[in-house]
Amino acid sequence: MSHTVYVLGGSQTDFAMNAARQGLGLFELMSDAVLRALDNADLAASDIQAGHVGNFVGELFTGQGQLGGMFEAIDPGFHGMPAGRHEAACASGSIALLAATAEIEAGRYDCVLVTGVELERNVPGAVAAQHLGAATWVGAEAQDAKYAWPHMFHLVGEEYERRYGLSYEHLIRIAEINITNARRNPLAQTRSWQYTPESFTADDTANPVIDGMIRRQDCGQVTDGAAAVILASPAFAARWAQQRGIDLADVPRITGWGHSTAHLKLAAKLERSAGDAYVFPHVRSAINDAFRRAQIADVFALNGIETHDCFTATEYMAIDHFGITPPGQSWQAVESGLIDFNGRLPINPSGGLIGLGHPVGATGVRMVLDAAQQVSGRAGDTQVEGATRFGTLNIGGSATTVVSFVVEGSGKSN
Amino acid sequence: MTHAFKSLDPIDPQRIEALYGDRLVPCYAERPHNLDAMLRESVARRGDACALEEGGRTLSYRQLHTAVNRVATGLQALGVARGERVALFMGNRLEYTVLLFGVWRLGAIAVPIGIRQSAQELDYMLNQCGAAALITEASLAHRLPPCGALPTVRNVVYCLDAGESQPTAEGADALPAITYDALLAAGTDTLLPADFDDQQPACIMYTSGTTGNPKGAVLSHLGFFHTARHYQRRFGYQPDERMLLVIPGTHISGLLAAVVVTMQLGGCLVSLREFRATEVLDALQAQRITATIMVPAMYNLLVREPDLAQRDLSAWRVGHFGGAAMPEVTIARLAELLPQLELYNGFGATETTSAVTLTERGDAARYPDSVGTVVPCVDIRILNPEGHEVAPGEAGELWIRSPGNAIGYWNHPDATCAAFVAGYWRSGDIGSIDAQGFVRVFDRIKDMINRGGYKVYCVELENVIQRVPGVLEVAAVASPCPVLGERVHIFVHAAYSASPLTIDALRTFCRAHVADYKLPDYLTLSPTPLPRNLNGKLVKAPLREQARKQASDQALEQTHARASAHAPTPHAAQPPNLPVRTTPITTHQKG
Repeated sequence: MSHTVYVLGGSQTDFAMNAARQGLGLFELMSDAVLRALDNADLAASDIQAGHVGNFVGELFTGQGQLGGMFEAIDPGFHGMPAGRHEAACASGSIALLAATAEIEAGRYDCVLVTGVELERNVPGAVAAQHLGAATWVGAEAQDAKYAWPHMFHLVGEEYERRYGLSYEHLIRIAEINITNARRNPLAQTRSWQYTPESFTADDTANPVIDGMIRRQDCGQVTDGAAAVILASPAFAARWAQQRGIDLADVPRITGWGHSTAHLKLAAKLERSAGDAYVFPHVRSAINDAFRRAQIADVFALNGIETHDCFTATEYMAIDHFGITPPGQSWQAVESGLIDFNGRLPINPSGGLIGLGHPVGATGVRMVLDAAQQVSGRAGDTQVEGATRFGTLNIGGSATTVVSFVVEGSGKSN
Repeated sequence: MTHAFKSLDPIDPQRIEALYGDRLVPCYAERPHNLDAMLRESVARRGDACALEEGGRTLSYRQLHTAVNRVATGLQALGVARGERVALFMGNRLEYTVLLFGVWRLGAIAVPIGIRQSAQELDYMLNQCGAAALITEASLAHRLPPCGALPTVRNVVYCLDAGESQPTAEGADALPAITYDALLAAGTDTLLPADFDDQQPACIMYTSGTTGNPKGAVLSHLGFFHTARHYQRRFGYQPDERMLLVIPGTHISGLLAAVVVTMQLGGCLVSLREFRATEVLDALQAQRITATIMVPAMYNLLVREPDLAQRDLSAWRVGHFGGAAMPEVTIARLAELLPQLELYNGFGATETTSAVTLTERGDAARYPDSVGTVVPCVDIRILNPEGHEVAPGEAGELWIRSPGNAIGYWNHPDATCAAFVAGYWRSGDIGSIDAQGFVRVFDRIKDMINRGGYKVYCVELENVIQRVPGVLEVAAVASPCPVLGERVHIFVHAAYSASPLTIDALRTFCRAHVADYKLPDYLTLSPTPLPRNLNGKLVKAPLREQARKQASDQALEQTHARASAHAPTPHAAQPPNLPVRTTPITTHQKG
């Protein structure tokens, strides 16, 4: 791809932290991620030419908007830097990334910072669920559901059940893999949570039903957190690498992207795809666009994936839409161990949204950060051995906004 | 994952492209924008060279270019538009290639139909694709369906041989008809631009389905170009090749491996309308043919010609075959008589625009059971019935991703959806790819014999039996069995012998070569050649029917025998030492 965008560095907050309980808010989370990202990339705030913030529901949880204005408060060196905030539900972070990469590819700026942040644990769970429901078509769907999103992804699971058949054992195995992976991740929300073998079964006590086929362990977490990455043009990255004695070939880079948006209502999406082998053909095309731009023919050219798993049914959908199995046959990859940490194509070595956590606006940024660390041998205990190419899939709403990236590196840390 | 472990293919630059919406496929990055542009490149390079020869007639590339434009603009004058279907129902005449490229220059879709199709099949195909025009030859006029049966066909064009006249319209509802020459005269020399991209359909090719109506595979310009390029690279074809077309040019193999590749090279396509061994040898010798594509049965017949050794066939370098395994004796005989002849096997299907594997040089004799290695841009996965990829060398269904994969089946969304999955075409063929990348194709899924849970691939057994002295043709089919499910029934067409082959002798011979569970149970000696389809491929359906009938007759006899004498029933008894798989093969239960 001619428009390669380099990832010079990045950072993620500890997703286990309950910010409000420590008297911290959106600003402190964002500040932590941004300052550490600058440090990680060995850059000063004044080196950054533009900034983007991914955030879904700052207004509802905290009453706070206009997050672009927080950069200068983080570091006076950001004074005057063009900045803005992006919203596309759980894909807000990826939309912020796309804005940044577009600016770099267009030649407007050569070094751009992208951060994503969300504060969700400052209100009771039921209130949080209601706020997050803003990404449904409010008033037109999930109206009677106590928890909007578990209900919506129960419907996605039900669609698989109807078209292809679906066993709960495969859904819960996805949760178990993610939570097991999160044990290796020192920043994961669930890293030290206690589970019993019954937690990963259809046991109504250890794993109670939330909505339909969605049980407790099938859910991504409600998380406070932020992440940030610093992106650069090839020219900037070459100069940056040379000044630091780094081989540019060892600097991770985004080589492909795909982005699609569908009708806001889930029912409209399912109606449209009724005759199609894929439940969400537009998810498939976003992934294919990323692959084509990265010039890879299929998913097995990747060494690992960081995918959206806001619910186990989401990851179940991602598996066949990535082309890991034929449509509707995702269970094969779950059953065969292919997506396990030590499998041929590990999914969510980080722990994913279920194990690592899901600060909504930060998630897309966190995925690209994890992918960049994986392909540069810096993923610590979550490292997929020898990884040089990772894919991401970040979705907002009921797969309303879909963004996929391919991130490549040499596998060597710089 | 690709399997190009040992490939010596030159490195043509590739890029991943999104084809027909949601398929990502590696494609050759450097290529003409469609088949018309490909022809124009050959015209530019090889203008004065001979392009076509048939029945004493010739056309140079420059003349071909002019005639192609006349056909394209002539069809346009008849009201045929881009994207409309033009059926070409004819033999290997010179006009066929001109018409094909004329249809392509117009941007219409060619529907080649072999002359041995029945009137009923022809009727079905013309209506299913909604052909706007039908181009045929005078000698086939009596084979056309009544024109009332062809509501979409607006024009008929007849190709005439010297001395023939245009068939007269029969009945009041006769369609407007003109001759090929009149079609050319209706056209102009103003070049049509043909400025469409190569994802457009080039042909609808009807597949000879064994059940139900044939399905029309929609094949693109891009797919045609890729397959032709594979042949060029693998076989080392040069611009001055002289290619013999003797299998039907309307069939996918003849169309790709002879017609399109020759036009891509700028070589000369020499066509024969029929296969007669002597005439083929005459053509090979007199026309200094350098390359052929034939079915193994044709090579078998050629090596049986008594004067083969006296012929000067020194120009003949490439002998491509496919469709069936070449008997090893034929390979040996050809090597002995024609040491310069390089044999190449291949495997492909209508749905993949022909070859997806081809032999690499020298491998046909060394690995006679292999159809070669996977060609560039193509990926083949071997999947077991549960959808998992098997280990190298193990057998399973071939799933194929290729630039040549059909866009789909014409007006058949359900069949398209079932066969084209996640960028791959489910071939329905059972085969394997070993660690060195050699592909083997054993059989169609439904042709496999399931003998008490053990899978017997017919072709493996057939290859062994082919070596029994005197055996000319062999086919293995399943015979229904109440105990094992299926048993192995062998049909043999053998040369006359005072002591005909027996089942015991056959079992003894096979025992030295195959596992005991694959040994034949029943043998039928056929005094006549085994049944073959229009493309010369052996057809097993009637043999299976015969085996089924014999099995039920036997069962009936045994029932009577048991009722009267309480005798043990020899055929229903399990042969000694026959391992039977008793544990059911687990299948995944959903839901």
